[in-house]
Amino acid sequence: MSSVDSGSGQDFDLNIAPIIDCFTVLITYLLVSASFLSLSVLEAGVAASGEMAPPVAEPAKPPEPPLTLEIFMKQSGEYNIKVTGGRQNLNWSIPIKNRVALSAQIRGIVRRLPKLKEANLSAEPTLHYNEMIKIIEDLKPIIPKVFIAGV
Amino acid sequence: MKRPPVQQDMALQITSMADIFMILLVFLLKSYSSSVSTLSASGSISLPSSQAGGLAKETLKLEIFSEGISIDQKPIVPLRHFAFDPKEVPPPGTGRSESLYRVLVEQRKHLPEPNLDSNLLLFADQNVPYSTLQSVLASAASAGFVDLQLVVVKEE
Repeated sequence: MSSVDSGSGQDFDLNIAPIIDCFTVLITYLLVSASFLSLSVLEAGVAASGEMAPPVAEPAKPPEPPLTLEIFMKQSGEYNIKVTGGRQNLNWSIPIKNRVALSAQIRGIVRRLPKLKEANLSAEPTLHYNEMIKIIEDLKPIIPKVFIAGV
Repeated sequence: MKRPPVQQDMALQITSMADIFMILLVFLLKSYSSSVSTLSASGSISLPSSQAGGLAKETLKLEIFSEGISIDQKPIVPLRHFAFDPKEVPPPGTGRSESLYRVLVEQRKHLPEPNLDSNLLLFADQNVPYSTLQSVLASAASAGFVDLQLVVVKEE
């Protein structure tokens, strides 16, 4: 590999020592600067309150109130679920003791109310962000769209 | 019985070493380019971890850490242990931060599609309290950023 015989009959050696030096420096730089953490993203929306848009045309009958699921997270690790609206004008309020029970309860609610596609997450002011991430992670396979209450 | 020392010329085979280095270099360069360049948090952020998660879209990057909030690596609002100054966000500290809102509105104008892109890449420390997060989200929502991409460390 390192010896080349040219057509003119001259032998010359390729000096690969400086190439090795370059490689060593490059590899060291890449190893030091490389991040071995694998980052990913969880998608969520911001739930913000505001005035509703005026109706375009007068509806023939009163519209069905939107079906909403609100999850309130407490510092103690307990939760409170509120389901409101829908055709039956639901107003459920369910206290929950822990995270496992929360997932099971929401699974049950979604089974009963297949129209429920969104969840709105809020918490006590001192609750840490990583606790919210855990709940968003649990909710993702059950409910397609999760919102964090921003106002 | 002592064996006499054998006179041998030791030649280091650097050709195979060059091959190894070449493979290593190619591997490192490939992994360097595939790890999305935008997904690199500042050293002071301890991101939350999660088993779920997908790929990020390239968009505006907002970081929340103990000492402040920065947008695209530029410090915008100082924080004190993750809390806003009462002058910035009046008590109970859950309303909109005007400084942050103004910068976000300004940044929105520089996006390729300012009227369509509502995504915000959020790098928040795992210890950020909900009150601070709420203020940040209120500011972001007011500026039109309503689709969040919450960056997490993926657990294998």
